[in-house]
Order: sequence, then structure tokens, then C-alpha cells
Amino acid sequence: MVKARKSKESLGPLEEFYLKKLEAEERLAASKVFAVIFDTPNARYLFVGGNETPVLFSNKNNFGCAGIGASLAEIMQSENLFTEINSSISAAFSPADLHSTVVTQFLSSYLKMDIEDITSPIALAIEFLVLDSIKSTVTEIRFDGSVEINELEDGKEKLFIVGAYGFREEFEKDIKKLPRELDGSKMTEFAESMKKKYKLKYFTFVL
Amino acid sequence: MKNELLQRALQSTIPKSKYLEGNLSQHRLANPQKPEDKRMHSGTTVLALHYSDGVLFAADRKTSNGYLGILSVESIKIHPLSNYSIIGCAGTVSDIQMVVATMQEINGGFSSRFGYQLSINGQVNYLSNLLRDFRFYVIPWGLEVDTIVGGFDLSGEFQIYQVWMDGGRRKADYHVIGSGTDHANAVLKANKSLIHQRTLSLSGAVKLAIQAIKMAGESDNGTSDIRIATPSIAVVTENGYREINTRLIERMAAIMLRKERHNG
Repeated sequence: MVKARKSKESLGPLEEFYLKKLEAEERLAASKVFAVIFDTPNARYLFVGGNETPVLFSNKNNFGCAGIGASLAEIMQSENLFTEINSSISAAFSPADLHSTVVTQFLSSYLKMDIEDITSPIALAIEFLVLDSIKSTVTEIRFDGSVEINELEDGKEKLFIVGAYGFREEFEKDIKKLPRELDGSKMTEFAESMKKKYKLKYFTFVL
Repeated sequence: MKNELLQRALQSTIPKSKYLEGNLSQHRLANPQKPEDKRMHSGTTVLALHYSDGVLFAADRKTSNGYLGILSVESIKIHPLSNYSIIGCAGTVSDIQMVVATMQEINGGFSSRFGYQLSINGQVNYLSNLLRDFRFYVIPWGLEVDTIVGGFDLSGEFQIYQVWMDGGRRKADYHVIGSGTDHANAVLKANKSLIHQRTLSLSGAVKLAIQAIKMAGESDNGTSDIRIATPSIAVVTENGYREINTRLIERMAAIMLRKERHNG
């Protein structure tokens, strides 16, 4: 016969994992870093910013990727992870074979393993936004390894954000006010206003 | 970054052939028996060249059984690796079968896992590593197989590489491997400007390939004569891999031979 568990009793390792995940989530929410892709029929905006500089990396025409993290150390780790998969795929095949799907699978499995690693008390709080220009998709990779793939559709407006958890709602409204034609000077104005409004240290955009 | 996690994540992401799993040095033979020096390494002619719409691979059909025997005149020596790439092999049958199976497995694994075909350079690099690893870790003289790999990838360029049995490789406009290399090479060399400029039509490229294999077949013991066995020809264009109809090749070879007889 199985004895009924007393309420308020520890759940053991499960509770550890839950707390580890919660801690990483809270640290991400407290930081101001973000990466955004705003796709409109006539313009595609890609910008990153926050209290630390998120990293941007790409593989020629295959894909572009932005990595955010709760701290600068974690952001640097996301860059190291990218370097590792880049060098490994180049050694096994060729640099041209580094596709968004390869990066997604690698990052997702690493983050999942990191959360489930019982020997480490703190999880890596990093997230990624991957833009695949060949398949016209945007992939969001969360800190717990979960992945969401969205298609970019012609003639439709779509907004993708990772990070900016503390001011997401208002930030989304601001982004949607951007002009529907790409304009460098207006984008600079927008960057400055966002820096002032949300007290950001960095704001970088790619036109 | 945790090294153990990193290695596990990399291993779960990058497809690896079952032949390369684990430590290859575990498979090193205790007392490897070196093959006889006079052993015939390859008796065949396989060639690849560029033409206006893509790349063309051609091969004779003979499998030798030692120096004097013929095992088969129906062998196929060019194989598709994916929808957009081909491999042509010369060497020992068992090694060729292993290399082709490995390359097909790795191509299928990569495209089904990631939704993209492996680039031609990526396939060549993998094959080169496979051949080199075997030489260093399993048997000192490596796999007895010379290969030509070619096709089309996302770079938008048609490419042909030759990969030697020691893992070395070379990219060029045309390649010939096997015992009939010298004779077939002479024919392709005489037309190298047409190949280089990519001005050969499909029929022109097929004729040139048949001519090259005919020359090799008439002078080389390891290559089948086109009067006995029709060469196999396949192409890769922007539409993918396609084998040229054997009857068409037969007819073109017959016309070539008739003209030759007519001209004395």
C-alpha cells in the first residue's frame, strides 16, 4: 500500500528543478535586455538593447540570431555556445551547413540539459531570437529550452520579442508606432526616445 | 559553460555515422596484414565534368575479379547521395559500398533532422575526414577508394571534387578516377575549354563522356568496352538528380562507332 504524502512536504528533486527554473525566470524578468523583430509588408526591423548589450551573430545569408541574458556573463556564454556549434559544424561538414535549425536544436538541447543538471544550483538565463531568411521563419528559444517557430507571411505585420519582461506591454505599443517604411533618421530618433523612456544603456538596430 | 553538457548537446545535434561512433582507435587491428604491393587497386573509369545545365557523371560497368577475371559488366559505379549530389567511386567493392552507405546515411540524417541538404563542400569534408580517420585509427593504408563527389547546393554553384583515399581533395572543372584515367583524361583535356566555359549542351556532354570511356575501354584492361557494356550516366541540374536513359546512351554509342567505322 502506498502511503499518502503529507501536505507541505518537499517534492525532492522536482522541487529543486522548479525553484531553479523560477530563479532563472525571475532574473530574466528583472533585467531589461531584449531582442525584437518587427516585420511589416515594407520593412523589417531588428533591434536589440537593454542594460547590457545583447549579442548578434549570423551565418552569411542563412540566418541571423540575437542572444539575450540576465547578466553580461550569461550573454557572453550565449556567444560562446554559438562559437562552439559554429566550429563543430565547420569541422564535421562546412561553415555553410550552419543553419538556423542546427543552431536551434543545439541551443535548445543545451538549455534543457542545463536546467535538468542536478549538480548545478543555478540555471543559465539566456534566450534567443533566430531569423531564418531562407525559410522565412522566426524561432524563439526560451531559457528552459522550449522552442516556438513562427512563419513570416507576406503582407502581414508580425512582432517577435524575447526579453523586456518588465515593460513588455507598453514597449509593444511603442514598437507598433514605428513607420512602415524603413527610415534611418526616424529609427535613430526612436532609439533615443526608447533609451530615455525605459532608462536603457544600449539600443542597437539593424536596417 | 559546462564541458560535459556541451559535448552531450553537440553529440545530440551533429549527425555522425555509425561507422564513426565511439573511439575509432578501439577498432585498430592488432596485426594488420598489409595487402600485396602488386594488388590491383582499381580497374575502372569514372569521370565527372561541368556542362551548361549542371554536372555530369559517367562510369563504365565492369567489375574486375583480380587481373584476369570479370565479375560483372552490369555494375553501377555512380550513386545519388541526395537529390542534388552524386558520388562516383573506384576501388575495392567492399570499401566503396561502405563509403556510399555512410555518405547516404549522413546526407539523409542531416536533411531529415534539419530540413536542409548538406552542402557539397560539407559532404566532401565529411568524406575526407572519414577516409583520413580510417587511415590513422583503423588500418594504416586506409580504405581503398577514390571518389568524385559533385552536385548543387544553396551556394548556387555546381561543384565537383575529387577525394583521394588518403583524404586529400581537389576541386576542378572535370575529374577522372580509376585505371583508365590517362586515356579518358586525354579526351577531356582536349575539350577542357568547352568544359571550363560551361558551354557544352547535355547531348554534347554525354557524347564527350561516352568518347572518353570508349578510349579508356579500348586501352585499359580494367574498363569495359562500350561495345560490351553501355556506360552509366547521371546528371545533377537545378531540378535535381537524373539518370540518363540507357537506350539513349546505347544509341549515341552506336552512332559514334558507326561514324568511326565509316571514317576508317
